[in-house]
Amino acid sequence: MASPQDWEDRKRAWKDYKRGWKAQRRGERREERIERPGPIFGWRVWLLPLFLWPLAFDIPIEILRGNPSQLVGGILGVALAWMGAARMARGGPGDLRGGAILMGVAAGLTAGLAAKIFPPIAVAMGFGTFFGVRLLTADMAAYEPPPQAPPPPAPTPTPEAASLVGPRAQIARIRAAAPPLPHAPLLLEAVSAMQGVVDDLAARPAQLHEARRFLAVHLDGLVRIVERLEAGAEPPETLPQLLRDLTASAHRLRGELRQVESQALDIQVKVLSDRLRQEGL
Amino acid sequence: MDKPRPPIPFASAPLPVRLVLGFTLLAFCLWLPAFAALFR
Repeated sequence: MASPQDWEDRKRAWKDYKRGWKAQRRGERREERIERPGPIFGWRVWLLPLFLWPLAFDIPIEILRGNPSQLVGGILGVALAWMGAARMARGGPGDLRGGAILMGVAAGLTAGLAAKIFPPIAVAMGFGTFFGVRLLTADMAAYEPPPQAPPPPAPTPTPEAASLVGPRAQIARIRAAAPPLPHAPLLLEAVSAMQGVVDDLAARPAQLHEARRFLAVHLDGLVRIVERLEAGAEPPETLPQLLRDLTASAHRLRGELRQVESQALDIQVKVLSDRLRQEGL
Repeated sequence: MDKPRPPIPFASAPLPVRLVLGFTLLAFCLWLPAFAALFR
């Protein structure tokens, strides 16, 4: 036998769960609303459930009289007709037909339960409502979502950046091919150093012309070496030294590029301080 | 190949005919039961 405390805990857990679920549904509905701009078919669709206006008076009367089956029939009729109209108003593919079916079911239930009409005739009235709704709404084209705005064009690379595309591809190629080759660590070290140069150049494209020879000769040479090694060539004894030299030269080039920047900054600082001094500040 | 869904009867009739037919059907099949429910 569960203790009252136990029941309390369970009740609290269930309430927490329900609250979480509601919050989740609310979020989903909000997203849906954002995705789909409101109803698009207005009065032509919302007019249809208004045919059931007598039920609005009938439902309170049935509550007072205490006729459960007629009350259920009335409520279901109104609710399903409203759902059908909402579905048609959404206007997605198949929604017009689905909404008409809901309206037909609503009419059948109203006739059969609320009005206690002979059941086969109630079913026939359901079909009649379905056809009536289709006749009135079928010509409304299925809603087509407005065409999406074309995505913003990809930023066209500047000529400087574009000229780095080839070296980057070469570096990626060497990186991918190096691991199984002989002297792989040295190859990877060299290619990392060259990657550093290319990254520096991407940040300072003004210095690209100074590094063009490096990119053309060193990187191309390294790609050719990798191709030969891939083809199964025996690496000569001088290869490790060459790779070390390539790494060192890449590091040196980076240093030089940075030095050029530093000199340019020095000059800027000097010019500006001279100007300030001339102006008597 | 899937056969297309058969068209609704009178769907290609002119608009006034469709309106009159549709409203008549709805009045008879939707409004009448609701009204009958109110007065039974």
